[in-house]
Amino acid sequence: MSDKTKSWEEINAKLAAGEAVVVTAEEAALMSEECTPKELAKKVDVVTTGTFGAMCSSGMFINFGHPEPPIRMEKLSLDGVPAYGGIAAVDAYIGATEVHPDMSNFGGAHIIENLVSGKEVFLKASGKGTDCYPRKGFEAKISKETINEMILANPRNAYQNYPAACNSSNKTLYTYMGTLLPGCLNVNYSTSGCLSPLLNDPEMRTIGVGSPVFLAGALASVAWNGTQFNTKKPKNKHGIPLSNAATLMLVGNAKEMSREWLRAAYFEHYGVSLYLGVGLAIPVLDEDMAYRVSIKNEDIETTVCDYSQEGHPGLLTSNYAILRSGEIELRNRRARTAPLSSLKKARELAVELKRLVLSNSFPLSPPTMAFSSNTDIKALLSMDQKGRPS
Amino acid sequence: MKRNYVLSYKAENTNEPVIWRLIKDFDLQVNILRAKVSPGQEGSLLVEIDASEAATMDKALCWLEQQGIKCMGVAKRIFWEEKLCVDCGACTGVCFPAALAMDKTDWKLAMDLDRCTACGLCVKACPFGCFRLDFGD
Ligand code: SF4
Ligand code: SF4
Repeated sequence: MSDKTKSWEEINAKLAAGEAVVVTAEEAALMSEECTPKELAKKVDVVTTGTFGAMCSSGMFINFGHPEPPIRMEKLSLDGVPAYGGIAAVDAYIGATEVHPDMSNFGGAHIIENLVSGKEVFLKASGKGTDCYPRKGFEAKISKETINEMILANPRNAYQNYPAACNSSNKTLYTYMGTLLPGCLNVNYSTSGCLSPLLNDPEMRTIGVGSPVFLAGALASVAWNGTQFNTKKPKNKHGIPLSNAATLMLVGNAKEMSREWLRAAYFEHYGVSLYLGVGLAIPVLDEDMAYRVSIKNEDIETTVCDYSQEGHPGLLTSNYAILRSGEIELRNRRARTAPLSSLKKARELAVELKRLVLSNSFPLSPPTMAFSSNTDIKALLSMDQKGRPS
Repeated sequence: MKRNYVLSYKAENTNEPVIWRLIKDFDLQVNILRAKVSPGQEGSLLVEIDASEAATMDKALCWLEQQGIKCMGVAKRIFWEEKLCVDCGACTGVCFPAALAMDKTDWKLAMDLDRCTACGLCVKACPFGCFRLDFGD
């Protein structure tokens, strides 16, 4: 092994001995102004990342426990919000974006937040009644103390980069990228830039199936690649994809999570979503990783897309240093820029994760399986009357 | 000094040319930003008043009160529930008077509600329902 590389074991031994140097990705970016990746690799052992933003593709498995006499819950709701009951007798899945039939600004994310916060939620369930599950209806208040499992299981979180959004039409658009005023008056962006987890290891050399992850305050796990995982997006010269690329599927014990890092949100005319705090601790194994983790906001580019046009075409490429300045030049005019994810909380998360890593409360371990490095995504095709794609 | 006020009045006061008097008698610059008037009943005007001195502004506000016109600084019309705020910044992109902006050092929401023109855009832009706007009633 060359003197330029460190193994996971070496880093873990330093952590156990209290000799490891852990910094946040923002601190690493600052350090890189004064030292080369080679020097940084020598100085720093672990870099912590963080983001706190809307992650619509989230939800929670619940096992309610069996009542006596038992019921096979087929249709169920929690405080009036429908949950999916097509899994065994008393298992259910509540999706973050599911909405209450009569209250468009209240949904699954609120149920998840309330249960995580320890509040009571009203369960109403029904089944057809079978020989082994004779009961046909059940109603009761439940809380995290009364139910067996609450497992947050999110099909797609922590997007590696995301396009910024604007609107060139003449009417206001209300989107999951926030309020987009007409005439490209404003640009909204998401992701925490140089703190963003998957932008600090763009090739995912240290992240894969089984990687530990900070999820909403709990030690959780990367279950698989996230849905819409795409490794074929164009990249800039720093190896950063210019729009949404890789994603993570995350799983963790929601009973250990906290409302500080998990909040229900409502986007006008779009619907309910869930804001989550997610962070990864990345080992600085060698010079290449040191270069990756010290990426600066000006080197992380993204595409500004026009949400008023079909297919959201890109209007220009910008970077997070410009987007964060509060202003951008768009079509020869100044447009206001605004974040949708909280940089303040992303920073707090990276600092908290640093504390956890230093106190050996957050493990560093290599993935049990690497992600595919050759995947892109398909569009959903509609069919003509003869069943051919049209 | 520039301030935004909501002037609320009842129909019986409307025969007085209020804006004209403010300009003529008090030497103020008055810019009407928004008006909501229900015919024959009552109305509210959102105005930006620019006075050369604080004393002139005070005198004008006193005179308005004497006419039975209620003046309220706009800052008192917009309500923000701090404990719901996560400092995401989603509200800052739609606030053109820059009453809402992100502090570039700690990335907390920085508010200067004296600049608020009660446009109401932040109410819908905030994903956490932090704002409530109460205009004119
Ligand atoms: S009401 Fe309009 S001007 Fe006032 S704070 Fe909200 S967005 Fe800004
Ligand atoms: S949009 Fe709401 S939560 Fe976000 S910074 Fe503004 S007030 Fe706070």
